[in-house]
Amino acid sequence: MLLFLLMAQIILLATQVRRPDTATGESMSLVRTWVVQIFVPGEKAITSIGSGIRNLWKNYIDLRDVREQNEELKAQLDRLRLEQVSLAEDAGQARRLQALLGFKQKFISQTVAAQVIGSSGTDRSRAFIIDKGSKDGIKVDMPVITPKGVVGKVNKVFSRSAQVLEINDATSGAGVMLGRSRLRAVMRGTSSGIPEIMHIMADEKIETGETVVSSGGDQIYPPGLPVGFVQSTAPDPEGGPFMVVRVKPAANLDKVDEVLVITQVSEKEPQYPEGPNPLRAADILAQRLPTVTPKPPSKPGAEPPPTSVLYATKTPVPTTGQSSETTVVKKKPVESLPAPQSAPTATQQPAVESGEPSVARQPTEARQSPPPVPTGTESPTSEPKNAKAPSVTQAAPPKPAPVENAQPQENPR
Amino acid sequence: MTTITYTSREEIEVHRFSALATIGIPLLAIFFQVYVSSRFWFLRLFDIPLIVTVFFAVSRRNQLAGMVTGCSIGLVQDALTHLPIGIYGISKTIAGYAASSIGLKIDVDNPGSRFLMMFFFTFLHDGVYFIVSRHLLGIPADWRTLHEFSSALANAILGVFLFALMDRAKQR
Repeated sequence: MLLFLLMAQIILLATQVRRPDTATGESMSLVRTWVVQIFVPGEKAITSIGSGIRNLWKNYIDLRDVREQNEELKAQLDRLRLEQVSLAEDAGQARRLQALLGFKQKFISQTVAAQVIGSSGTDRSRAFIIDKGSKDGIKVDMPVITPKGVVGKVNKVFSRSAQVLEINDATSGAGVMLGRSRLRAVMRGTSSGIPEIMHIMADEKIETGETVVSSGGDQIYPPGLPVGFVQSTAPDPEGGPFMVVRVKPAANLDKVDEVLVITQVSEKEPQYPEGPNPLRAADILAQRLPTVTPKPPSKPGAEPPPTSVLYATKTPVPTTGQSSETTVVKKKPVESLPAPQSAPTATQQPAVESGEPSVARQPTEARQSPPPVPTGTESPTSEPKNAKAPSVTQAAPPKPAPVENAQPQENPR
Repeated sequence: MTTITYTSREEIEVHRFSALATIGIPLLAIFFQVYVSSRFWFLRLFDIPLIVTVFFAVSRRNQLAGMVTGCSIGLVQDALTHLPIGIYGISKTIAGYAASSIGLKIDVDNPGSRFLMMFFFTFLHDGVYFIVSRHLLGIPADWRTLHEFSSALANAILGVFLFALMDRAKQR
C-alpha cells in the first residue's frame, strides 16, 4: 500500500512537472521524457543490428542480379535521354517565363535524413519516432517527407530522437491544392487513416486519381510537395453543400523506414544565366505581331507613299498649350501592300497593339535619325522609360489626342 | 467440517511473479508493440500490453495489484503516443480492475474462458478509451465497430497463446 501511494504520487508529480527543452523552447512532461529515453536506446540498437543483417543479405541478392539490372538500366537510360531533351526545352521555357513574372520560389535548402526506430504502437495515434533529435537540428513543426511525398511533421523533439505525427492522423491537417483543378483546401486525417479534403463544394469536378500537392498555406509544408492522390469522392453524409474527398497518401505511411526532415526552406527569386542574346518576351511578342513597314517620306514636305501603313506627320495644333505640334496619323488608300519585313522595329510594335502615343513617334524619329536597328530590345514594359526621352510624344500634350489619332477610321482627313 | 465451494478462497490459486517478470514482461510487451508495429502495420490491431495487463490481473486476483499494473502499463503506453498522458492509463486501470475482479469468480486457466475474457476486455478497454478521448478530451475519434471487433478477436486469439506462454513465469 505504501508502495502504491508512493508510486501514485511520483506519477502524479511526474505528470505535472514539465521540463523546458532548451532546443525547442517547449516544455515536455517528465513521464514522456523518461519513457522515451528508456525505450529509444533499445530501439536504436535493434534497428542498427537489424539493418546490418538486412544490408548484408541485400548485398548478396543484389550481386546475383546485377548483370540483368545493368542491361535494363542502360535501356532505361537511353529512353530517359530522349525524354530529357524534350523536357529540357519545356523547362527552359518555364524558367524564362518564371523569371519574367518574378516568381518567388521556396527551395528546400537543407534536410536531415533520419531512420524510423519505433512507433506509437497503435493506430489511434499515428506517430512514429525517428533517431534524430534537437542535437541534430530538429525542431517542432518541421516537415517530414520521403521521396514519394509528405509523411508528416515533427510533433515532439527530444535530445536524440523526435516524434513525427503522420498526415493521416485524426489530429493532423495540411493545406493542400488539387493538381488539375487547382482548388485549395484543407486536408485532415481521420481515425481510419484515410485523409479527407474538407469544404469542397459538391459541384466541383474532381476526378479520381487527381494529384494532391501541398499548397504552403499551412506555413509548415513547402508548396508543391506531393501529398497523395484522390482516392474517391462522395457526397457529404450530413447532407451539406460539400463533398467528401478521400485521399490516398503518396508516401506509404504504413511502412516508413527512412525519412527526410526539412530543416531549412529558403525563399528566393529564381536566377537563370542568360546567354549573349537572351530571348525576351518582347521578342516573342514582336514575332507574333503583324509586320508594319516604315516608309518615311523622302522629303520632309513630300506626300507619303500610297500604302495602308499608319504613319505620322507633324501638324500644328493650336489648342495645345505646351507644345506647338503633335502627331496625326494618316491613312492612305491601299494600292499595293509592301512585302513584310523580317522583323518589326520595337517602335512599331506598340502602335499596332495598343495605339499608345509612341505609335506616332516612329516616322518623326525616322526623319530625325536613321531607322533603328531591329534589335527587338524594346519591350512594351519599357515604354514609360522611353517616354521620358526627348521625342514627339513627350512634346505632345498630356491629353490623349495622339491615341485618338491612332484610330485611323475615327480621324479621316 | 469445512465445505469448499467454487467461491471459497482456498479453491482459488493466487500466483506471484518474480520482480524480473513483473517489470520485464510488461516492458517487453510495450517494446514489442512499439517497435514491431512500426515494421508491420497490421500488428497495430493487437494490444499486447492489454493482454499482459489482463494476465497479471487475473493471475494475482488482487484488485489493487490489477489497477496498479494497468495504470503503469497504460501510462507508459501513453507516453509513447502524441496524445495526452492518461487515456491508456485510465482504460487499462479499469481493465485491470475488472479482470482481477473476474479472476476471483471464474476459472481463468481454461483457454475458452481466456478467449472470451480477452474478447470482452478488449471491447471494454476500447470503449473506455473512446469515451475518454472523444467525450472527455474532445479528440477527434470515431467508433469503428468492425475495427474494434477485429481487434477484439485478434487479441482474444493471441491472448490464448500468450497466456500459455506467460504461465511459465508464475510462482505459487
